[in-house]
Amino acid sequence: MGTAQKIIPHYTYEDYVHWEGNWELIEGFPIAMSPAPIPRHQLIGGALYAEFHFALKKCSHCRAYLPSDYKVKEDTILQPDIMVLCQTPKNKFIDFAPSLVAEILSPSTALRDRNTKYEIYQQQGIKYYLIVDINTNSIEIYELKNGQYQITPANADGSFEFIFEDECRVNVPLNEVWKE
Amino acid sequence: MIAASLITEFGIALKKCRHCKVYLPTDYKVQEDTILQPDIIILCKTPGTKFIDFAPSLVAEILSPSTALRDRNTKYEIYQQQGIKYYLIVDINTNSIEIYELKNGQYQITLANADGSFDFSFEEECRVNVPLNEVWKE
Repeated sequence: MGTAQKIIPHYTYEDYVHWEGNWELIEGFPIAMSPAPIPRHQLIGGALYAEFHFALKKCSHCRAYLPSDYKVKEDTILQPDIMVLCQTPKNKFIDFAPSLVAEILSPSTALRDRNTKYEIYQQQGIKYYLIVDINTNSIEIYELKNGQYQITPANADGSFEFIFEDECRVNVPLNEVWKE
Repeated sequence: MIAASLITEFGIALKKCRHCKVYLPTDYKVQEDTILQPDIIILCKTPGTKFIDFAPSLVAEILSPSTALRDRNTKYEIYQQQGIKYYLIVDINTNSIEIYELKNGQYQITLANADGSFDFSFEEECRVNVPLNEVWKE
């Protein structure tokens, strides 16, 4: 056995930008994002995105985004399925904490979404983290309280009121996404 | 952002249709050696669990410098051949959306209404007016 196999590369954003295809990078470790998410993942993702986009039209600064590079630090770049930003990103990537991120679970990402990413999002101070389970048709709402995520129930009618920066309060009918 | 706005406009318009839904990019398996991921897809029936294996009712591609040539040629031909009724080519440099509609098996460029909207007519009486010009309002 040679020594070569013991050398585990530690990549950074500078490497990452040159890779073809779709990747995430967590503490220097590359994670392939191919193949594309399955059709139902993309159906629910589109529906949830549309609800946020529509609700946020009344706010002047907060907008919903589809996956884009969120550079947490030099060796950690994530692409949440949906983001809400309340300021305009100035670089090729997002270099500040979003106001909300949502991840739609898939078998290959569920463990990472519930653990690694949960910790990262909490640590970065992202106010809302939504975990969307397309097998059980449920959305878990984690809200940051005193620096820790706490699971928070939706309203009885299936909607939830999100309070973002600059008086941007929006009621989003989350249950709409399951109407197929 | 543009793909996103377009998804919202279609998503809202299609709420009134029972079967037609908008999808974010997912694998469209045209044949064993051809798998595409259009930027926006409308399907009027439920796809398989892993990929789409039938012709969508609409696909849209947002041009980028690295894909423009392929979108206007290779993909245009494939979509036409597969019988996809609507193909939208979105040019974010000129803020324009070209609407190609299949007529007798060939794509014909079709004009939007004077107000910037377009009436799409999908399967099963799903007719929706989509304000395409809304996507340029940032």
